[in-house]
Amino acid sequence: MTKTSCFPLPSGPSGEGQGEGLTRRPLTLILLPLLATSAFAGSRAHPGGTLQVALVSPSATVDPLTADAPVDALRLLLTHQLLCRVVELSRPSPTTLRLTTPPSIDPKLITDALQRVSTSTTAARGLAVPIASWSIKGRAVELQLKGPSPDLERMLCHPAFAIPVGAFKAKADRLEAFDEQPSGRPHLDAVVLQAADARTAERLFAQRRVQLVLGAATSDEVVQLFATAVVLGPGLAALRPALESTIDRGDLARFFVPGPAGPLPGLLPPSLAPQFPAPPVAKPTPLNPPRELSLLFDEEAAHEKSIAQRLQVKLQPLGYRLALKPTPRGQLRNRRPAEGEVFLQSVALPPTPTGALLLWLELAGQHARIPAVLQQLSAAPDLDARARELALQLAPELPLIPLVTRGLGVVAAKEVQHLTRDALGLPRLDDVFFATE
Amino acid sequence: MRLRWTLALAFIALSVLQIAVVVPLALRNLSALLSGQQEARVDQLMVTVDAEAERLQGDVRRSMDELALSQGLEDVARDAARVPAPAHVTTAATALMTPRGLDVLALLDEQGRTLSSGHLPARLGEPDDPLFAVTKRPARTVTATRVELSGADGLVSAPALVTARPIDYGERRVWAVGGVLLSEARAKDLSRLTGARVEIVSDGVAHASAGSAAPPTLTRTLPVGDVATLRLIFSQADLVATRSEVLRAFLGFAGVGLLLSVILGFLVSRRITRPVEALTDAALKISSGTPGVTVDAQDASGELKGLIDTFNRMTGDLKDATNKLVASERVAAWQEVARRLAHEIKNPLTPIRMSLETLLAAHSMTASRASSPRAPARCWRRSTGSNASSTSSASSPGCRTLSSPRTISPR
Repeated sequence: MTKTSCFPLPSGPSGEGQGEGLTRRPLTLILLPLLATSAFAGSRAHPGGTLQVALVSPSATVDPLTADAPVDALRLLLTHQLLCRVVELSRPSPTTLRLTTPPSIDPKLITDALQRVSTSTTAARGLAVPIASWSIKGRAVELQLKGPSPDLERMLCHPAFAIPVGAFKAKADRLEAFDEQPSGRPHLDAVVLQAADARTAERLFAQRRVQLVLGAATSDEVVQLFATAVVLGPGLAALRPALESTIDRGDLARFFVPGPAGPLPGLLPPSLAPQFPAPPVAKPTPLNPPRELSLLFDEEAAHEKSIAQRLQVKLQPLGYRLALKPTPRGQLRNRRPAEGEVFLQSVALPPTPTGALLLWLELAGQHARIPAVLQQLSAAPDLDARARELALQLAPELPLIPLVTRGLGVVAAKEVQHLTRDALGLPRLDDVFFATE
Repeated sequence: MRLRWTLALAFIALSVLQIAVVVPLALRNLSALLSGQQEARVDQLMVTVDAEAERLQGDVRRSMDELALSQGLEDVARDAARVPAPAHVTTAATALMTPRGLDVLALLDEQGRTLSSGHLPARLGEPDDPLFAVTKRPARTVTATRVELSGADGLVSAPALVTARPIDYGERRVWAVGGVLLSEARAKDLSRLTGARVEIVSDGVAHASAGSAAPPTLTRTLPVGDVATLRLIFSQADLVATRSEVLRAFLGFAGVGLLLSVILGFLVSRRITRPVEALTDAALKISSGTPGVTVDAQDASGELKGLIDTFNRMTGDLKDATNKLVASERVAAWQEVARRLAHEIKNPLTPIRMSLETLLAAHSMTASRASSPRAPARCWRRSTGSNASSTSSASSPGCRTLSSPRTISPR
C-alpha cells in the first residue's frame, strides 16, 4: 500500500512554501542517505522496549473535537491516526475526493469522523463545509464537494478527523504497539504515560524514571499550530482597539504561555504565513462608567487563565471590568459568546492556510461566509497566497483577536532516537526507537 | 362576699404584687450582671485579636527578613535585571512567596514597575503604586495597604499587611514588597479564635467574612490602618437564652409560689373564718330563739378565742336573764291576776262596806245625836276623798275610818 503524504513539512517559523520545498528535493535526496548513514553509525535501532513518558497536562480524556492543546492532540494521536495519513487520497473529478482505505481499516470509521466533524458545533465544523456528502464504495469513501476545494486533502490532517486506529492501543494503563496499524508496527513495544505537573515531570526526567517529557516549557523552534484567541460577543467591536492597543502579544507569549509559544498578530501562524507586526493602535478613551464583561476560558488550560488575568489587568484602566469565568472545555468550545461575553478559545489549526482561515471563520461565527470564501480561493491560481491575502483582509472584520500560538515542548533522553514531528508539530512516537547501549 | 374568699383573694393579690415587684427587679439586676460579664468577655477577646494582629505583623516581618537574605531572591533580582528578563521571572515571585506563608509579594524596580508579582502575575511590567508607596515608609514597618488581585468580577482591591525590603544587585535596587492579605483565611482564623463573625470591611464593603453570629449581636470594630476595618460581631444569643432561662425559672417559681399562696391563703382564711362562721351561726340560732347556744373554741386562738369565750359567757348570761325575765313576767301575771281578783272581790264588798259604814254612821249618829250633833258629818267627807263614786251617802260626823285593802300575793 502506498501512503500519500499530505504535504511537505514546514521546517521553520519562516513558513517555507510548497514550491521551495520541491526545489530542494534533489539535494535532500542526496544528503539524506549520507546523514542517515552517519546517524546510524552512532546509534543503532533497537526495536522494542517501553517508553516512559511524562505528560504535562491536566486533561484526563481527549476528544478529537476538543483536542486543541498540543499535549492533548499528541495523546489523541497515540491511539488515533490523522485521516490524511491513513487513507490514499485521489481526485476522480475536481468535485470528488476519494479516500481509499487500507484493508485493516473499516471505511465506516471515516464516515463516522466526517459525520462527527460536520455535525459538531465546534470550530472544526468549518473544515467540513466544502464537503457536500459522502458515500462508501467498497474500500473507498467518496466525498462529493460543493466546489473544487483543492486544499481539502490537507485540511483532513486535522485532529478533529482523526480515526481510532493509532499506532498504539490502550491496554490497562499502558499503550501497547498496535500490530495491525496500517503504516506498520511501531518500533516500541509500549508507551506508558504519566500525567504530571511541570515540576514533577522535570523531577521524573532528572531521576531517569521517564525518558520523554511532553508539554515541557522549552524554547524549541517548532511548528506552532495551536492558537489562542479572544472571541468577542455581539456589540463588543469597541473592545478590539482597547485590546489591540494594550496587549503586547510578545509579552503574552513570553511570560504567560509556557514555551514553545509565539505571538500571533494575524489569523495565520508563522508556519503558514509570513508575520507582520501588528500596526500600532491608539489607546481609546477609558470608559466611564466602566463596562462589566465576562471572560470565559477553559478551566483546564493554565495558559488561558494567565492570559485572562493579563487581559483583566490591561483592560481595567480602559474601563473594562472583566469577570473571569473558568468554564469546562466542552461547554466553551460548543457555544458562541453572548452579549457582554468574551471567550478565550484555543484551536488546533490545520496545517494549511485555507483550513486555518475556514476554522477562524467558523470560530468567529461566520459560517455563512465560508462558501463565498471557498469560492474565492478556488478561483485563485495560488491557493495559499490567496488564503494569506484573505486572512489579512478578513482579520479586522472578524469578531476575534488572535493572541498566541503554541507548539509542543519535548524533552527527550539521549536513548530516545528518531523523534520526528508531524505536520502539526507533534512528535511521532510510532517512529521512535531506543538507541543501542 | 364571704370573708373566707376575701381573705383568700387578699393573699393572692399580695403574692401577685410581690412577684410583680420582685421578678422584674431581679431580672433587671441579673440582666445587667450578665451583660457586664459579656462585655468583659468581649473586651478580653478584643485584646486577643490585638495580640493576633501583632503576631501576624511579626510573622510578616520575619518572613520578609528571611526572604531578603535568601539566595532565591538574589537570583530573581539578577534575572529580573537582565534585558529581556527570562520568562521564568513571571512566576518567580510566586515560588518565593508560597513557601514563606506570604499572600502578597511583588518585586518592583526603582520606578515602581512590577518585575514579578506573586499575587498577580499578570501585573508584570505594570506599575504598582500602592505597593511602591510602601517602600517610602520607614524600614521594617508593617503597613496596611490595598493590594490589587484578580477577582471573579474583575480586579479587586484587597486590604493587606505588607512591608518592604530593598535588595541591591550591583547598581540596581529591587524592592521586595510582601505580606499577608486580610482575606477569608484570616477572617476564619479570627472567627475561630473569638467565636464571633468576623468581617474585614474595606471601602464600606465586606471584603472577607467568616463565622456567624445569631442575633442579637454586639459589634466591635478595630481599624486596620486607614484601609480597612475589622468588624467583630459577637452573638448575644447565649445571653438572651440565659436570660430567658432565668426568666422561665423565675416565672416557674413565681407560679409555684402563687399556687402555694392560693392554697395557703385558702387554708389560712378558712382557719381564720371558721370560728367567725361558727359565731355567726350561733348568733343566728340565738336570734331565732334558741337559748344557751355555745361555740366550740377548740380551733380558735388569740382574740378569736377571747371573742368566743365572751360570746359563750354572753349567751349564758342571756339565758339567765331570760329565765329571770320569764319568772318576773310570771310574777307580774300573778300579780295582775290577784289585782283583778282583788278588784273583783272588792266590788261586792264596797256596798257591803258602805252599808256597814252607813250602818256605822247611822249608829254613830244615833249615838252622837245623843251626845253631839256634828260627828256624822265629818265621817262623810273623808270617804269622798279616798274613793270613787260614793256620792250617794255622806259620812256623818263622828264616823269611823276604814283601813285600806291589803295586797294579796299570788303565792
